[in-house]
Amino acid sequence: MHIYEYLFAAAIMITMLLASSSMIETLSAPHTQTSEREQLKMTSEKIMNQILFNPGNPPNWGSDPSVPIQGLQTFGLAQYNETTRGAYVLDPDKILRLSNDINTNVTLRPIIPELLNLGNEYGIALELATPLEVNVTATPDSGIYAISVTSQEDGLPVYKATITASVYYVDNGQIVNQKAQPNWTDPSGTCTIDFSNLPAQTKALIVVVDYANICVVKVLSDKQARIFGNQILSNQTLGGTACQVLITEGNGARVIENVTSGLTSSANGWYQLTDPEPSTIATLAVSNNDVICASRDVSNVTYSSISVDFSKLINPVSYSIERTVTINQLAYSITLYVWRMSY
Amino acid sequence: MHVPIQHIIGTVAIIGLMISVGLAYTIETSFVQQDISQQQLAQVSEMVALNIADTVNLANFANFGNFTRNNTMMISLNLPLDLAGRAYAVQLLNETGDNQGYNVNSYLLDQRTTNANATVPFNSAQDSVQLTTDVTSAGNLYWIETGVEAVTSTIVVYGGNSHAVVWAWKGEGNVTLAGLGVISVGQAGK
Repeated sequence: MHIYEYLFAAAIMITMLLASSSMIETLSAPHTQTSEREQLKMTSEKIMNQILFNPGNPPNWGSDPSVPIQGLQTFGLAQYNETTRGAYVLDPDKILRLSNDINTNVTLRPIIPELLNLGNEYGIALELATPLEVNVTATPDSGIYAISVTSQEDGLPVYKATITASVYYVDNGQIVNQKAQPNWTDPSGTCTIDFSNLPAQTKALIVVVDYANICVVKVLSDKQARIFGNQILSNQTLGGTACQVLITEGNGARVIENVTSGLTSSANGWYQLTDPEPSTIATLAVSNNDVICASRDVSNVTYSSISVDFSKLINPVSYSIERTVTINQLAYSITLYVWRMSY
Repeated sequence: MHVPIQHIIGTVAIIGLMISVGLAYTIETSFVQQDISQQQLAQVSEMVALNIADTVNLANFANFGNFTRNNTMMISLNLPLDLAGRAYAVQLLNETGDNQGYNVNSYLLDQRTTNANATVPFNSAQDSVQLTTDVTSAGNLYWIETGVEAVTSTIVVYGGNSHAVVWAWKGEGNVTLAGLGVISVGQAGK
């Protein structure tokens, strides 16, 4: 046996080792990927269920401004009532605090993953969306509003959606409102509402879109305040009365109703509603002949545990899970994105 | 018979190489196997953590006011018998002291170092949810008012145990207790 034969035998053995190793890696890779995906799926479900079914601790943390968000013991967005429960019913005040907390110096990003015991292992993002995409465009200084309704999934126009609108403005120091005649979207999914006969001052516009029992509400206002439960935080001096706006259902159609209540001033720009109505979509107050609107419109609220805009981030390793929830008696879809921060 | 020295060296080298190749292959396959086992354990841990979160939320969701307290809620864990032929166990860890909350830990019984953790989404030490991770607090719990079936609280359940459950119980003072358990029929609890 010559020396090159030994070398040839050695080369064959090393080649066999390399080929076998490569095959093992190749064969195990799909299993590992599937397993990681399944694990991420269960993690997503676990986080989603915790967020949707747990009201958090203390349970009224959304509506009680004295509870700092960094003082939460458990995180959850479910609505809390002493005597009734509803599955997949979320608290609008808690959702609003996700995007717009009382103390704007507090960084929410690290607090929520910590409360969910995620550590630095996972990143999460939450996105709320209405079932229909509603855009309201005002023609400047005319009181004419163009409303377009499209489907959220594919952007196709929604034909014959019922549009109900009401505008609120100040007259003689009181909030008054004018309702538009119910209208319907045309085949291009658009509709125009004319409030041109009203005085040109700050107004608040409430638009309700109803299509096959899917209801979307939009609140538009130039001057805004923030609402936490029955308390309003405003940098303007507000009058002693407030107008609470609700969406009710009567004779098969959605109706915009309003209830007048008292507003008492507390310290540092806080105002207390005397008779708060549950499920209000907006609370309006007067300041210097202007309407100040504290909206509970939660559409398009987002939260992300990282500072990157996750909607623009193409993340192939993230897992998303979507659920339909009820907020203020209106349907929304909530999407949770979960991804691994480390491997 | 005369054998040249180079043939002896070459044969020994080939035998040595063969042994090395075999060892390298064994080590690599064991690493891959460990990796796969770890993935499977992670899946088991995540599944148990998901069930614990669901059970606790179910107990909190259903038990309120003064009407329906003191009922033990449970979800049956359909744990696989083994992981690639190897026995395993699942336990709850209380790492709230290290600010890491509660964790579900799954491990291979014959190789304790191969294990995987999954977090339970309740973090604070002052949280109103307390998981049973202490052997002294394990015991029997009633399930529903009939008392026909009882859950024995435990801190470890083994793979393949068809009676393994996760349970949650909401008592007075707004505290919810939860943990792993084993259900037994006809042995109503304490």
